[in-house]
Amino acid sequence: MIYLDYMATTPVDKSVFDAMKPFLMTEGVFANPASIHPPGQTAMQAVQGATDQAAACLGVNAASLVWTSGATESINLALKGACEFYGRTRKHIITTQIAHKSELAVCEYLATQGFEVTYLSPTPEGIITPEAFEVACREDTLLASVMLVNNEVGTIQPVSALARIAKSRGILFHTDASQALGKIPIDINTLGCDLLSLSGHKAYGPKGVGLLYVRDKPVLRLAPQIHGGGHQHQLRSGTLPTHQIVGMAAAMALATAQLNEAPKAMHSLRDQFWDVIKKLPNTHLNHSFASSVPHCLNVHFEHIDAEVLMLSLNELAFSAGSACNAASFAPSHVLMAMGKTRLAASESVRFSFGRFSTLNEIAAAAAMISECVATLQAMLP
Amino acid sequence: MNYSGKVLDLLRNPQHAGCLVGSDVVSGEANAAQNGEHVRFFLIISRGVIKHVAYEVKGRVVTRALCEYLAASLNDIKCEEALGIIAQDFLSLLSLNKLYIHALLLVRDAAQRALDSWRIANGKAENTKKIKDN
Repeated sequence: MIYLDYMATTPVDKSVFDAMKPFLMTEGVFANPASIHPPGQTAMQAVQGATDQAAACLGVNAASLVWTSGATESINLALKGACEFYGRTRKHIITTQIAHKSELAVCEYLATQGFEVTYLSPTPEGIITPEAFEVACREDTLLASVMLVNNEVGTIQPVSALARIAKSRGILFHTDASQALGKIPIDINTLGCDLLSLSGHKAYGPKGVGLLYVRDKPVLRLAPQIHGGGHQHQLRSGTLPTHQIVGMAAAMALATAQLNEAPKAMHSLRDQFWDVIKKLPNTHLNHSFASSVPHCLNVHFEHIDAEVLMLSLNELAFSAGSACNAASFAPSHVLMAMGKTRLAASESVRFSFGRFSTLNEIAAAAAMISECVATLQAMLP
Repeated sequence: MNYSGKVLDLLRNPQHAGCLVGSDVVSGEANAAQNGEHVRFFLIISRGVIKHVAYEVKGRVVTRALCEYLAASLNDIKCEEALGIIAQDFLSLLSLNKLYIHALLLVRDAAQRALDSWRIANGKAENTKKIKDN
């Protein structure tokens, strides 16, 4: 099996796994970090060390970070928490048509709570322009949310420029940076956002852990969404999972350390792969390499249904970037927002490479795809 | 989506995909305008028996699996029996959701039109009409 779905999830890096192991079993530091006995305090020290490590990667204070169960929870806490705390008079939210479902679903929920939501359209290249953003800003806009890197086409959004506009209008700005970690720099001071969500498993960390940055200078308040023992400054209750937190911090440190080299390797893999794939008839790239992270290709194979291609290539793991359910195969809302037809979206697939992808694998995958596409094209009426 | 092993096998190992050419070939096709699916069936019928079946398809997983399953089912079948084969509930036979009825109708239409072409060419259009009416 050749894995080409690193934007869906990544394996845990061995060094990350090694960092997590001491916090799980009896011979290690398994105690509850909230306990005041010595093992508990040792666990808390590990959590604090990991939080410092994560904060250093983002260029922020450790006190501004909240550990969550993943990006979906971070986004829920950021958007619902801000709207609940500050949204008595300002009832307008800005998001985008190319947002992740987790963000769109939160906005749909907030719409049922009296908030009005503007869904910004991207350019055909998948970019949210500052001009379009500025036009959407209103006197009553409370919050804007634009993801840093799109999860289906890999486009990098001009978050710094958008956050600047938001700040000048007194609008809170959130970005989901889950797909950016380890691919492009995430310096929160440069980005200028008030809230930023991250996930562990998109960057060789464990699943089930994420982070939310909440601006601390001046302090930004959020209404907690999970109530319980009042952990993490009353903001997110629930026992801190020491091993998960240590793992995600280790993954972030690794991603930051490799930020100079990793994108170059991805460029090389992508170029080799695309050089083969682009020669297939009626094959199109759905985005521009110039404005995308280097490990992502979203490709349209004309006349070939994405699900057929995926199931025919059972030695390759890649994604249609679409939502499946038992009765229908829904084409990507991102591609359709970029102006692709429903049919074109249903014939598009996403390949994404990662740290463990090799040139040999990429060459083999490209050959398998070429053969399969030729076979399927030969079956066309 | 989760498909049965049978459906995946039909998709991955098509034995009847392609076209037939020659003066003895009849064909029939059907389109689904709403999703761009297109199926064409080819038959070679000799002495009232279907000797060769092939199909071309632009379609989704279920449509392709149904094409292959129907094509295999029609091989060496007498024309009088073919309409009964075509009318079978292939969705149940392949453990597919009834929501795929559109795909089944598309594939059935293409196969039946191929059979109709042969009947018309051989002056048996009246027979076809009677079978349809029944």
